[in-house]
Amino acid sequence: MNEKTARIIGMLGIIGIAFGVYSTYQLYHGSDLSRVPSTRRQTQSNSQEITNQATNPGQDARNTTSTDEIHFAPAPSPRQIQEATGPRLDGLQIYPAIQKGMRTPFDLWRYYGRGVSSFASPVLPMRFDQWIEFHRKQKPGLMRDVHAYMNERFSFTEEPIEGQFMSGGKPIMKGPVARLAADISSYETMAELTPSEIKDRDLFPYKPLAHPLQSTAHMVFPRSWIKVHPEHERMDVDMDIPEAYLPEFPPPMYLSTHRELGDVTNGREVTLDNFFEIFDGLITPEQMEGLKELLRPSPTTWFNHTDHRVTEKPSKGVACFDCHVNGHTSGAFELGPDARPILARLRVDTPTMRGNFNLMQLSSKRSIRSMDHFSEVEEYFDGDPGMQQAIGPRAVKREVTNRMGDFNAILDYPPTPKLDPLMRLIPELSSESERRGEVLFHGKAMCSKCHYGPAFVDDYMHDLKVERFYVGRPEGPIKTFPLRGIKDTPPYLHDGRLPTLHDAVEFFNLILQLQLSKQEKEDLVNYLLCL
Amino acid sequence: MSSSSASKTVPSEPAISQEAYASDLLLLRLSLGLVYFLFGFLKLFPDLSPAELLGSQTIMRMSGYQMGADLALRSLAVMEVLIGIGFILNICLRWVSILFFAHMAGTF
Repeated sequence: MNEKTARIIGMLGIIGIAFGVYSTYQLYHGSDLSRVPSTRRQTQSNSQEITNQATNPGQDARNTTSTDEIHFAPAPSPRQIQEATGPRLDGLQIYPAIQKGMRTPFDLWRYYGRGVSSFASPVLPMRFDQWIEFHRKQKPGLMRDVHAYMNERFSFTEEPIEGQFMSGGKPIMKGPVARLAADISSYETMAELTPSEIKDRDLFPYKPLAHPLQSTAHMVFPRSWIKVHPEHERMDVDMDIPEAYLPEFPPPMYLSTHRELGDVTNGREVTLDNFFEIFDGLITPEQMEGLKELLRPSPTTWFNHTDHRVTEKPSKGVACFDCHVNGHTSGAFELGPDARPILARLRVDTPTMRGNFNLMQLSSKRSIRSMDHFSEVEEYFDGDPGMQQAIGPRAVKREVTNRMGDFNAILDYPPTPKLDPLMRLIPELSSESERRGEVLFHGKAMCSKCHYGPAFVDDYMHDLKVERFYVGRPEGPIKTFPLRGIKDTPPYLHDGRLPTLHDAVEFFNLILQLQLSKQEKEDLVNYLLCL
Repeated sequence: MSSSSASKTVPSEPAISQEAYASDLLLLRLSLGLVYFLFGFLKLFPDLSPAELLGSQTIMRMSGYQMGADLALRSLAVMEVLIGIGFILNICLRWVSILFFAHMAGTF
């Protein structure tokens, strides 16, 4: 056999193997064994058969009696995932195979699929000394890439809005800071494009933000917090948003029962060491007990005393007020606990607890309906109570969570001297631009469709259908967040993809196709700063 | 005379070894090529290769954790497919052998 013939035979062999693997993949994916969902539709006859069985459950029994044979209907696999009828999978990729600690793509919105299991294990994929070494090596490169990615998406100039400060005095940053594509000259130019044009040309500047290390995920604290609480410094990942675009630390705390006092903490962070001194004589014994519990650390999935942790030294855990510092927010982020696989969980910023007494619905996705329930189920175990077996439960009894709710219920909004009792601007205290912004808020900009009442919130969950503007997995309905005191809680949207109020206005101008002018957007920001 | 008949009935030792050596090399090359191509090609399909986690972790580690899991796995798959094709079709054997030894070193 000469060389040429041998190569032709070899080539045919390669094609045969390739075809065999491809055919195997077609049979395998979407089956019970695969984590890749099927994209094939059920055949009409198969669907009809299943429908008939559902509508005529006695049919099989009659047949069985007549023939004395038992026929088991081919039941559809409960694990089979069929293609959705609305959103398309076009352009989406299957999640990569990863283990805890491994780097994950920053553009996780482009991926979909199912996990190997819903259940996590408290066992690390390596020995703890290897785990530390692994992260010591991985972290510098990871954080370099994270910052490069964030700088590619945003222009963090740290330019403040003149004369505008958060309630405790931190300057408020000017925007928009999201970068536009090179061939788009301004936000106004982009707003003239249709959603499909923006999607096709990949121009949308407000795509979701993923956790920089989503395989491990869990809480990431800002630098300002870590300076005071080095015990929460992670060995694997750091905060990715510059300090200037985060809430102030420590933030003021206002009590609805003592408005005359203003910030009851006098600029201090409330801790287990000083809370009694600050609050004795100001709050009820029930509220005091609730506050103590809000300050008491408890073990979490990755901050605990076991080897399954992201701190070099064993950790006492994390308290409610570590993220919700002084009843507000430290700017820490986590992942929503409500989805699996881990890579499908949405990044969520810590929301403020100020004014929770006015909310009928808490949490971004889970629609939690009461503050005691909120205190009970906060995502200490990432939606996985099974981890308690290894790490230890929070062990908070119902009456105690009620008391945590009692304290939560007196956390007030910051003062708003420019608003009257009906939340309208007082003309003599407000500027012309702010008043124009108010008119826009209730009119052309359509903000008040969802943001109204004393907290500027409708307590509904809305699907903004942002995936119309980019190739991505739909994020689904997410709770409307209140706008009262909004200037104190950057960055905005559930995952912090909108670093400034200007970005928030540009985002809604695009997705609601409002066609606001540059001046109108500026007026709207000026109004939002009054709330 | 006797020496001439002896040389006809008993083939010389070096001649047998040469033949066996050639066919052994061919079989070795083809079997390596088959294994490399098959297991490399599997890695191009998510969830099909039993070694995708191990493979991607190894490459990530060797790259000093500069590569993501997805890129690491695809790079490994392409490398194995190239080695497999090279061995099966007997092309660019020098470069394929370098890739092969690098891959083998990585597996340890």
